[in-house]
Amino acid sequence: MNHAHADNERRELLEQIRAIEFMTIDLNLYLNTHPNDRRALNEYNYYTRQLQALRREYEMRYGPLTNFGYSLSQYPWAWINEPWPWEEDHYMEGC
Amino acid sequence: MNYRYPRYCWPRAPYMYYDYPMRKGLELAEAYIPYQQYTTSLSPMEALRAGTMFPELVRPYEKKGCEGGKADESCSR
Repeated sequence: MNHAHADNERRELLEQIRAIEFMTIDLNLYLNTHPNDRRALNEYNYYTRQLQALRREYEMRYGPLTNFGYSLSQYPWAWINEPWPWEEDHYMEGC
Repeated sequence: MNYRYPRYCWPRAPYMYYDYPMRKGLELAEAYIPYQQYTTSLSPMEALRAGTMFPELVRPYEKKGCEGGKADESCSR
C-alpha cells in the first residue's frame, strides 16, 4: 500500500466522521425544540453510535482525534504526531 | 466596609421607563415562526455540504452573475 493511498483512506474516514458528526449536531438542534420526536431521537442515537465507532476506528489506525480527556493515547504520547486532524494541507499534497 | 459584594439595587420596573413606546400608542415587535415538521433528511455527506440535514432549510449563498459563487470583478461591488 503506497503512501498516497493510505492518505486517501485516512482522509475519507475523516470526511465520513465529519459528515456523521454533522448529523448529530443538526439532530441535536432539532431535538432541542422537538424533544418528543421519537424518529429524530432514534436517528440521533443511531448516528451517535456510528460516530463513536468511526472515531474508535480512526484513532486505532491513525492516532487521537482530540486530546485532554477525550481520546486515550498509546505510548509514546501520540497527540504531537503530525498531521493533526484539521491539517488539510497534508492530505492535499500532490493533488 | 465590605467591597466584596456589589451594592444591592432595586430592579427597575417597566413603569419607570416613562417614555416607553406603549405610551405613545405603539406596540412592541412580535415574531411568529411556523413549527418545523421533520419529513425527510439529506444523506450525511449532502447535509455536511449543504449546512443542514433538512432539505427545506437549504439556503445556498448565490450572487447573481457569479458562477460557482466565485468573487470576480463582474460581481464585486
